[in-house]
Amino acid sequence: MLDRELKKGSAELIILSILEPRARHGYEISKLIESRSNGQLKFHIASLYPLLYRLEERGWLQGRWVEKAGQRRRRFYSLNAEGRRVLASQRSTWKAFVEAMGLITGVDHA
Amino acid sequence: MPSWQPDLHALLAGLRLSPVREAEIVEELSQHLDDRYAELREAGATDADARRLALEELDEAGGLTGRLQALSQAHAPMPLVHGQSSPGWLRGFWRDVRYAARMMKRQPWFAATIVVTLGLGIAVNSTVFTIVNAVALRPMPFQDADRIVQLNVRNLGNAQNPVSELSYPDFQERQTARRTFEQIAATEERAVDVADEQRAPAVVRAAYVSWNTFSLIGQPPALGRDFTASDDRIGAPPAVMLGGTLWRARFGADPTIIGKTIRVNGVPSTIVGIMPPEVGFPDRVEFWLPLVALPDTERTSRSTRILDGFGRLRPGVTIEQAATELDGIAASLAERYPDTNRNTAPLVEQFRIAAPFVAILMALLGAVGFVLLIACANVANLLLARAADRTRDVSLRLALGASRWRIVRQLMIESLLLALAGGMCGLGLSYPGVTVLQNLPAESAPPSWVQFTLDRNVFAYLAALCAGSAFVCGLVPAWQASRPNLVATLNDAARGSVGGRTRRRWMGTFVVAQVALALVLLTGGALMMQNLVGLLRTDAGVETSALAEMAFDLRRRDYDRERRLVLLGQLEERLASGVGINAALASEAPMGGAAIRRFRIDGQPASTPETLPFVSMLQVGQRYFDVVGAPVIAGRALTADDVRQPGDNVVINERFARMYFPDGTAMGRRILLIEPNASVKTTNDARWMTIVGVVGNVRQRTLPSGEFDPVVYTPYSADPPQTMQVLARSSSGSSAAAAFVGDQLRALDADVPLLPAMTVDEAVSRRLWPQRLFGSMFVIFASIAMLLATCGLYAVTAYAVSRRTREIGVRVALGADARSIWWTVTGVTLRQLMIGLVFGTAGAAAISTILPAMLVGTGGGSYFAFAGVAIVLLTAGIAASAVPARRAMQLDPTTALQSD
Repeated sequence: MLDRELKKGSAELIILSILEPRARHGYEISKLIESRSNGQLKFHIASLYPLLYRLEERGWLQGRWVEKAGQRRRRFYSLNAEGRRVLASQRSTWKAFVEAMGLITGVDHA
Repeated sequence: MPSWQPDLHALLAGLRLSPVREAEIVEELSQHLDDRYAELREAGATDADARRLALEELDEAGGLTGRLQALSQAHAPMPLVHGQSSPGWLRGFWRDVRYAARMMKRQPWFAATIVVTLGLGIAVNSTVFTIVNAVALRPMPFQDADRIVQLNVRNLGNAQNPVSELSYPDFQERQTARRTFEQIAATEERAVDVADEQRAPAVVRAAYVSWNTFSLIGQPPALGRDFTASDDRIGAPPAVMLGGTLWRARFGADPTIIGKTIRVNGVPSTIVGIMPPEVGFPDRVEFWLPLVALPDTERTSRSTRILDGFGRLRPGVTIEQAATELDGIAASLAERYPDTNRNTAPLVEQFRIAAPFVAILMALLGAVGFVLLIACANVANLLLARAADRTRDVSLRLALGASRWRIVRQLMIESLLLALAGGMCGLGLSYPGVTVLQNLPAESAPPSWVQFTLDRNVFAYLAALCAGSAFVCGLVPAWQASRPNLVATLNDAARGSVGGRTRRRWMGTFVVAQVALALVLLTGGALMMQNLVGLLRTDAGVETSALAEMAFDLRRRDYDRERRLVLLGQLEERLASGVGINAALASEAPMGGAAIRRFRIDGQPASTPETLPFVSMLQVGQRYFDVVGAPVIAGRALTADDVRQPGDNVVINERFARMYFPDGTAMGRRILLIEPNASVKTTNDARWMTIVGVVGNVRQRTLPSGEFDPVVYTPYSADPPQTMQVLARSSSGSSAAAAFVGDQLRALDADVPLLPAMTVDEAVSRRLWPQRLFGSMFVIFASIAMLLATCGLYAVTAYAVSRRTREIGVRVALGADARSIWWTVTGVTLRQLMIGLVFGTAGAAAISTILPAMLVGTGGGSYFAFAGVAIVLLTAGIAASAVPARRAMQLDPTTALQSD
């Protein structure tokens, strides 16, 4: 598991990235984070939903109830324009940060 | 699939989400939990484990609610209907009570400290209130007590003696006031000598009462009959009534005693009735005679004002109306008897204990109020300190949906529970105090109808005290505790410093208040003690520790002026024969008071009697100065000739000579002694007396200035008094002297009662019982206050140090030396002490001006008392901060920095 602080700072970026290709519901988001990080990162219910609601309140993403035949309705989150702009800017900041860290510490980034 | 909704609703209840949003979130989270549960089950978890693990994730990373709290949607206006229904008011109340009880059980020492602290405060209050209740609040145990009034005479323009009692003829005139009064009665308390064939004679506390006295108070006898009008008529066969206690002790509760004859002051009298033992009207007497049994001289003289008058008002009549009717009678009396009744007015008051007594009680009630306030401040500080420790607990409850009002209510119920326990403790602690009151020695006990019992009033007061203390000490801590910084606390970022500054400021305020209150109380206590010690130590002018005094009473029908003169003369001769015993007669013992006269010096312009100065007058036998030990300073003492053939010779004391004859010309001057209430006419009849000697000062009365009182000594034979003191010094002790004097008196008349002997010092100390009682109560209260304030100071300082451990650790790590650490810790305490002392000084100054007015005697040198008290408090405060300060100085920086 990564350092808690690091995770906290990057949590917003992670959510935004996961939602970039398409809308997803909460459980799917948490499973994707876990699988894509090879189990390094886990967003449990207690931290995930408050974060989703907060980003929604900020106007970066939007939740919508979607009903599919034979299934319960689920709430899907998708990025909106503001969210895409923030994602782009956070990506470049993060990139610059990781490069700087690599230069200082001699740790190669993947 | 388990149902998650109840858990989720409970979690979200405190967030004030809009109902729609809450339902959405619950739905969304339920689905997440469903998925998670299914996943866990697939991975092999049991049903229960899967459910538990899923729910536990709700609490991870600071918990869902804490995080949601930061969202703006979490602060929607209070929904009208939503989610879980809130429990009923009563159910919630009970839950709070149970919770509070659990909290008390969890911290028993903490609870015990509070209970004992409050208990002390409440105990002193309920003890004093028991007295207040008994003497001032509870209706007296008389039928329609509110209609009973006491009747006296106001002496207009006589500041020395503003109120006097009634003379018998005046009492009889007042009985004609039938328009506003149902009945008017009068009593005179006086010891009598009871003798019969079977038993040794005894002196008993008795009262001469008008025949209607018991019917006026609505108290029938337990056995036999009450007095009737015919018993109280001149020439009626003498009738007496016994108190139940005397009846039991002396006559073995023999019911056939009714109708039997006993000798009362030598007069065969018939016992007509027995009173219940609890009746001692008007004070604590156990024997009653009709007023007609008073000596003739006292029944006929209008200037002999010895009767306590009582009246029962007609229903609906006010005191003012009654006074108006009596005013008419008084005006007519003043017209007919100007010599005795001029410048007097009737005084009608509700029948109660004397006002000065009530004033002291109110002062005491104020004092114990202060004690309770100090206790409350202590408890408030303890609760504040704990509130800091419970921040997390409270935050969690707030997060779980408790409203702020619920938290305040919960904490207030806790303090109420503590206060109730404190009240119980206080009741227990006040029990010994009340027991002491119930068993006061007879000379200091209040009238028999004052009963110090714990009744409904006391319990109501106690309940009010508990509620009041709970409110006073619980409110600030509850309010403080109910507003923690939720997110910070739950995110574990708090280090107990959340709200710390406000809390410390409150604690400091309470300390300041405590110190100020304690200073006021201690100053009051010191003043009372100083006053008492001053009175006890008042210099009589002569040696009094081995001077015995014993009184005897000649106020009997058969002792007229001539017979008194004979008896006193014979007694004086017999006393002179004693070997190793030196005894003399005087109308009063030293420090025992004196008759008061106004006087005029010959050669000075005549003025109205009301403007003449006062002097103490003592009637003495020839050996008085020798026995008492007052040296002759100029001229001579009174001789046997002066006493045998009373001429116009008098002796004055040094103080008199200094005050009125500063040039040393007292000898041979003439003075005129005038009764304080005498009219111009009697003034003209008075005899001029010649000063033949000046003797050393012997104090009779205590003057506010502390100076000796001016005294004039006249031979007793000029006007033989009806009560006399024998003063005696014996090489073999005062009891030997008493035995000798008793023998001599009995040889002259076996029926004259001689009251028990005691030394002058003992008598002074006995007369000071109110000062002793109230003074020691005040000191006890002040000591409790001091103890509480010191403990409070200590606790707060220690708490502050523990809270500042990190800061002190940093300072030590940064190289602060021991002295600066010491100042860090004690500086705060000293500042609080100083502020408290400043406020306390103002209060103490106020009490120093109020209290002396209530005290008898002098109150000089109060600055010393005050300064002493301030030093004691300061020392206590510094001592209280010394231990925490030392602990702070010895702190290991590394440990301190790790402290939470």
